Amino acid sequence: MGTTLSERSEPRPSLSQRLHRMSEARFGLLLLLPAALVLLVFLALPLAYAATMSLFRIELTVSPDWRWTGLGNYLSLLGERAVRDSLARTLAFAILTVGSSVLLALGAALALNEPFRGRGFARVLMLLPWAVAPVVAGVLWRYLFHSNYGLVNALLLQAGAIPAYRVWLDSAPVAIAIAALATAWKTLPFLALIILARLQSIPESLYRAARMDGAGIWARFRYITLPQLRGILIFAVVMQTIVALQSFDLIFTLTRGGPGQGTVLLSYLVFINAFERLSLGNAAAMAALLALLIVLLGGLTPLIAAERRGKESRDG
Amino acid sequence: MSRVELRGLSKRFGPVHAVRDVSLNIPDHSFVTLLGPSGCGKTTTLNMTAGLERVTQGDILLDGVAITAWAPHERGMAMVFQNYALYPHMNVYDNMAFGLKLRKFPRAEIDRRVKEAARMLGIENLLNRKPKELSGGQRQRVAVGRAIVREPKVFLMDEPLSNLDAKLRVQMRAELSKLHRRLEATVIYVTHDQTEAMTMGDRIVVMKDGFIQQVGAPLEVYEKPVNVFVAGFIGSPAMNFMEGILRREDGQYYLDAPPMKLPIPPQKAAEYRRLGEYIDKPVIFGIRPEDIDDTELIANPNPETTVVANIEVVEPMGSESYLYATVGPHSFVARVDPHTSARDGEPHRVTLNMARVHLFDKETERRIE
Amino acid sequence: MASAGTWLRPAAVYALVALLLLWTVAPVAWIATMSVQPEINYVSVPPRLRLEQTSLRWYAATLAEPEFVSALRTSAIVSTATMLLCLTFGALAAYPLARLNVPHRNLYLSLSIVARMVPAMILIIPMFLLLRNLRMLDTHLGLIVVYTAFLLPYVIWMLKNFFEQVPYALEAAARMDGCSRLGALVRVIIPVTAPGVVATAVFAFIGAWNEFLFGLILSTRVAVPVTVKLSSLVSTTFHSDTSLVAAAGMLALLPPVLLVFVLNRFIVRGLVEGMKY
Repeated sequence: MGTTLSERSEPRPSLSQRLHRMSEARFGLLLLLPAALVLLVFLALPLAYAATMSLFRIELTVSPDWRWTGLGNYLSLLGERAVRDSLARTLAFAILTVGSSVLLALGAALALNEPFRGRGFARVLMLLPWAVAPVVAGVLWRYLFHSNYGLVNALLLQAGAIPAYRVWLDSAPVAIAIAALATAWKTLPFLALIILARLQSIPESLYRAARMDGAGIWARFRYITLPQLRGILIFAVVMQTIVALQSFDLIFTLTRGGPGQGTVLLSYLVFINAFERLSLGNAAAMAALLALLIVLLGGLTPLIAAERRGKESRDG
Repeated sequence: MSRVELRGLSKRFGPVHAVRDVSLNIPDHSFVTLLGPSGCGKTTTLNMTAGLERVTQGDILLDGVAITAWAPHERGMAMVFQNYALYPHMNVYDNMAFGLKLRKFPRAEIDRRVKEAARMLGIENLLNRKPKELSGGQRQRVAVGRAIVREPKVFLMDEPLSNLDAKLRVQMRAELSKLHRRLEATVIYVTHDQTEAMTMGDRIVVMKDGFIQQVGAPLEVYEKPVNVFVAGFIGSPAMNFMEGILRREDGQYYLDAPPMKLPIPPQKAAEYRRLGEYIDKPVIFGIRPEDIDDTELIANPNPETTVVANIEVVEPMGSESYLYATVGPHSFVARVDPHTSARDGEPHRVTLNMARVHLFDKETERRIE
Repeated sequence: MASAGTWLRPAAVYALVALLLLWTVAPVAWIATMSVQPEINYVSVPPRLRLEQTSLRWYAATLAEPEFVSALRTSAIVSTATMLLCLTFGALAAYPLARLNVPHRNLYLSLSIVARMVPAMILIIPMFLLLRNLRMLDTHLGLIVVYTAFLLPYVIWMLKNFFEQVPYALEAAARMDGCSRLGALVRVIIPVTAPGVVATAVFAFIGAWNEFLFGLILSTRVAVPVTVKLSSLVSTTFHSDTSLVAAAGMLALLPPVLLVFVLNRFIVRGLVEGMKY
């Protein structure tokens, strides 16, 4: 019985056979090649180029020459008033964004964790802001807070909270706050979903044990829910900080950096340096620092995740 | 013909030596079990035989032809996995037909083979279902069916029964044995369950830490274990091991294990050629629970091998009772007649059948030659 | 347990959820309203929305604008092509990272994680120069390639997470049945991870569609994506019809939103399972 020798192929190595004979390592590297090529040419190369640019003084409005300056651009950065101001603004923006979005996301996740009619529908609707482009979100919120036809003005007037329509986006702190709110709006789905996922994995038995011990709602939240969420909340904070640092599209359509320079965040400053002042060396240096900061922050996340996993397995 | 030969098979994963120098002859149509604890290298050996894992060193021969470098599907072998590995996006029919379709078998032939295998396994009515709609036992049959339709020379089975509940396992054991006889194929079966190995195999290969410890028919491995590990692994409950000094008085060997002094019957002693070298030296002696009886309930208990033991726990199993006992510093388990009058926490007399004792070198843990 | 809290909790939840949904929908709802009402209606204080004046004519006008239609077409072409390219290259790359014993595998993984975090801002100038040298400025191909490069790390990461979830025995079974390793990838792993693959595809499409910065810098006339076109409308139409801009905005956000609503189950799965460390 059974298949005879004819089932085995004769030693005439076809392409598939040659692929099989190849060691696992070689085959894997072959598969990685296309993606690696694309990333090398269109990601790694430009990165290297940008890093190189940051070491030169390049003011295209003055001359097309590149003058070596080593770390000069980096060192002068903090000296520049514009940079310091922008850094302060970005920090404020980041704190506002992270604070509001994580809190809102936590609330949303807790609410969506409860069973209620139409929960599925609510979860779907919640995804809306995630689908909207940051640029478009800027437009949406600009029109929400518009001085002439903004919904916010209309509602506040109707409610009697303000005597007349206000201009919102002409005050830098308010504009930053609105930008933070818009960013929180945009990123809520992602944050809420990952917090919700973690929430749902908390074993019901923990809560039951707590109720046997007499813990009320607030106590259960404080002593069971919150500790379990610690890891994911830290993760959310880090992710959201990175989002805040990178924010450009939304600012572009919301305020164009205005009023004046009032909402020029760090990434916008890079843009101005690169395309308006044509001060490429400076722009590259600034971008490099920004990138470094983000990568460092991002590098934290796997470490936190690993610590979280370790803790979970210990608490098992 | 489907004779498999493994020569000097070895596998390293970086610094870890999973399989060391495994050489095995698996005759045509035999049912060979690779038995051992997890991590012993049995699954890796199976995977190398299948072609799923590259061989670091050594050769695999099928009917004398070296297939070590061949792709899995060129070897004419089929595998049944522990967790069945059924393609979740295909129904049972397609699961079983997949391999044949890939080989461009004609549709009529595929249909014939699938239906026949399904009939053999009693799953004809499940052909349209998806795996997630099936019970564990049904999934297992589909996995076996998938292997059967290939009409392979060798069946490789990787702990196929370990995910089934106890009752189903017993039932499937018998069915797999029947299948083996009916299909007349060679089967290499991996398991950590010694009951499966004992009941299903022609030969058992006991492995530990990548090495083969012993190869033999079930009864042979049971009666003449080659070292402490094999002795303790085969048989349930496990063999009792105790230490004592071998002494010789008036031409009679006995084991000095205070407070016990156990004579060794001369026929038994004669089996160990080099026993003389161990006089006045400590040895490990093993005695299976089934070879220790309740003194009151056997005819002609040997007073010389009877001891008063402190019974800690009595576990009534219905067909027999387990006594967990201690004598001085030694503790052991005895399988006795269920009508025993032994009680928890009370002393009781037990008789050790020294005609069935096993003697091991204390240093090497190997059976004394 | 005291019964006083039994009605309080669900009421609070409903209130919270209602607020949440309102907050989520409000910005889009307002722009949607603006896009179907004449400007005077919502410019007046307070706004006087007239149901009978609802009309789609601003959409018609926007779609009659050839530059805008061209922008929509560009976005569609570029997003679809980017998605396909990302999936292909990404799946090929994710498989060895998930399964095979590639030397320095961890290095590649870490590199891809770092690559994901590089802000686009640092790349605009070199990218501009690079595309100019390759004569790919203001072309669909240029955008496709750049977007792919930028989205690939995410795609690879997500696909790798999904591939890893497939039990190894399934692949082993396929290889025993006669698949090559690539064959097992295509015939078994990808069908089994289909929901995850769909989620990744949607991510890639939306990521490309919503991209702004590169489109702004790298395209000027021909290959202008709709996001860039929209932003130019917002800034330049000082005195022209705001309803037109609103309609344009709605058209720009509609495809991703529709995709998300239709495929929401996959998205949720993708967001949660695909983005693990």
